[in-house]
Amino acid sequence: MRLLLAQADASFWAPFLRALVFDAPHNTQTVLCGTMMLGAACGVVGAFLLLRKRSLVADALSHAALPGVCVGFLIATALGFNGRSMVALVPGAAAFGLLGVLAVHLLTRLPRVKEDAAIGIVLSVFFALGVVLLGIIQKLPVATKAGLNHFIFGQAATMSAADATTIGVTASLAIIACALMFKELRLICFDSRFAESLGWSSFLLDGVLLAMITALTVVGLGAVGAILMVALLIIPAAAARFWSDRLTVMILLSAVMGALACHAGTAASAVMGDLPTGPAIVLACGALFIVSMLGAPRRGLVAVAWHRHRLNRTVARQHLLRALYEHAEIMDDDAAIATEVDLSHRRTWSSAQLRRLASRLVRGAEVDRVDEGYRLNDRGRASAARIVRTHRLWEHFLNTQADIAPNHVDRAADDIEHVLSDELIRELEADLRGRGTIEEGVFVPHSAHALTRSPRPASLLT
Amino acid sequence: MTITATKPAPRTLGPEHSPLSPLSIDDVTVAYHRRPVLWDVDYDAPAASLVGVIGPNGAGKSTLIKAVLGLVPLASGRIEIFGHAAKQQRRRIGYVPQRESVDWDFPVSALEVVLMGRYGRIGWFKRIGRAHREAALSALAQVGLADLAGRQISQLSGGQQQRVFLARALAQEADLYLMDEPFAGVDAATERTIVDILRRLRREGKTCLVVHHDIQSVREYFDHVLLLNMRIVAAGPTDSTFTAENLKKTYGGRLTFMDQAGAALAQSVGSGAT
Repeated sequence: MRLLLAQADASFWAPFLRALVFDAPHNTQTVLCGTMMLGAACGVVGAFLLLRKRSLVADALSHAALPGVCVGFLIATALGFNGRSMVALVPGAAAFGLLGVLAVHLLTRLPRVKEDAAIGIVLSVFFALGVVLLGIIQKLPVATKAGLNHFIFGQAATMSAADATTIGVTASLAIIACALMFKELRLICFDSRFAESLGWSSFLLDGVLLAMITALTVVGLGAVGAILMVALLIIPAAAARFWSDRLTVMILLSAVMGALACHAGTAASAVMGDLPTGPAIVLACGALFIVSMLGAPRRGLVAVAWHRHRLNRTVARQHLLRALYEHAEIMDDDAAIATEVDLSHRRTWSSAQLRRLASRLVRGAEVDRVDEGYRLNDRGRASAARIVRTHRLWEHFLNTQADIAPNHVDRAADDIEHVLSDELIRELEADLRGRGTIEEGVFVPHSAHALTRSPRPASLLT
Repeated sequence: MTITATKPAPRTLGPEHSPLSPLSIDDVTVAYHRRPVLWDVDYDAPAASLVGVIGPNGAGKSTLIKAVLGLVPLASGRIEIFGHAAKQQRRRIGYVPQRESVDWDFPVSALEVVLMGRYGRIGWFKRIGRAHREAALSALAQVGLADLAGRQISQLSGGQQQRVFLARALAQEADLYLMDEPFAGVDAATERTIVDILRRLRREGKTCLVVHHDIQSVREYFDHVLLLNMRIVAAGPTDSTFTAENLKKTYGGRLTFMDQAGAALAQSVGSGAT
């Protein structure tokens, strides 16, 4: 690492790299630690917020906090204190933030205002008030006013070590509170009505969640900014949801991603002095989200597309094997050769589709290509027998237990046969005993409907 | 149970109510935004019984259950459970909410949901002990889902999800169960499981109030019915109360021909058997 840094020393990236590995001035290190703790805490609390489906309330809160910062500054300055200290700004921000949430709550109770509209109204009006107040403050002859508009976009670089410590302590407390109340918060997020039926107050638990969000928002406002604070609460949690179905794992990942994003954003802003921290952090969050959305196993888009592709291939293979098997049944000849015309009568395949599919089966040594068509070989016959058997068991199941007319069964069976359970298969088999043939060691029932070589009637294709 | 040791509540119920009844609803009115949804509901649930709560959409069936649980404020009236205010008797109530009331994509496993039924006993801030875990596992086994304990709830079928909710209520080890449409949209196997469990609960002396939609199975499943349409139309033993006439009063013109035919059929079968 040292070597890498030494080599990079002369380059543009050197200070950035230094900041990334904490090889930076003491103050920067403290600020980095503080914002990372903030990111981790926002990741944890944000996960609960996301699952409670109250994300946008946090947006209203952070926007509404901006005029609070200005009012706090004005009051402290008027009283002769340092208006930029957190002691002055935090109470003002918290009071206005909560006022914003209360306003949303009250507006929602009006008959014609829904929650999304209420949030939109509160968020914009409070924020506009904040910007106007900032404009007024800029006209005042007060030295400490400089940098107050960093509260819009956030600027961690100018933060003092004391501020960073405040952030770190608040964030740690929030994480500890979440750990202590994990069970309670999970219940309120999943089923608040059931929580109330136990006598647990959802008002109180929601209040705890809101208190944590308020605390994190007001201490983080200077670093991340009023506009983008909500991103730090939502994005890491939403990204983490792609990776796991377990709440503990999701929260852990959310915390790690929040911390990473804050680290990258703060480091970038420390190096490039004018770069606001908030947008840098949010861009890092966005990158993590995109990676999660695409690359997460099972839930990621790539995994989902790959799974669907595999399923389509499996289904297509089964359809062709079954068509070949049934063709042999109709011809009453195991070695019957099915031409493309024969096969296309059995299912709506385009000629190119059919050829591609067949050549895959030829490569898989299940089907032999004979001059004028295709034929199952022994291996393919064994696979086909199993597939046909499952299909017909399903047909039987749907016929006997689901009240569906026989000529509608075929299509439905196509879709469902791939998910038949072993237990059900045994049950259906017992039901059909004596009405089928033993083929390659497995029991293949007769078809429920007559098999014909002619094209399918149009009604079956619907 | 510690709760039974608390001193009896002062008798404020009307004389027709018994303090021993699992559930006494005394002249309860509930209103949402000044529009009443339940009017003067007066009802005593008999002990060790399965009570079907029947009525059209918007009749206040779910509201009645929520009122008993204290989830909606009463405009007037009083509700007592085993002779005490419902608030003091939380541990004796088990609740199965409607399945659609939660997000089934939530990152919890079936076992974790069932464990929520133990939370009332565990209390705030405390860890979930092994005894609670075993109670939850046993509840899952009773509904036939022991093998799926660790599975995330979105990976369960609708019927299995409903059984998870039932298992959570069983884990509450209550004496009075309130179930909001447990039979809605479930498969045949789940329906059998629920019926078996309801009957077992009755044998154990418990009382279940079950909101039910399928009129045709009422006679088979419930020994008592509560016919509700904002007010109580009729209540009592199924044999004498669940009549075509009372049904017509409950549903007004909204009872479809199919339901009527089904009810009539069920009634003739029911009376033929007795």
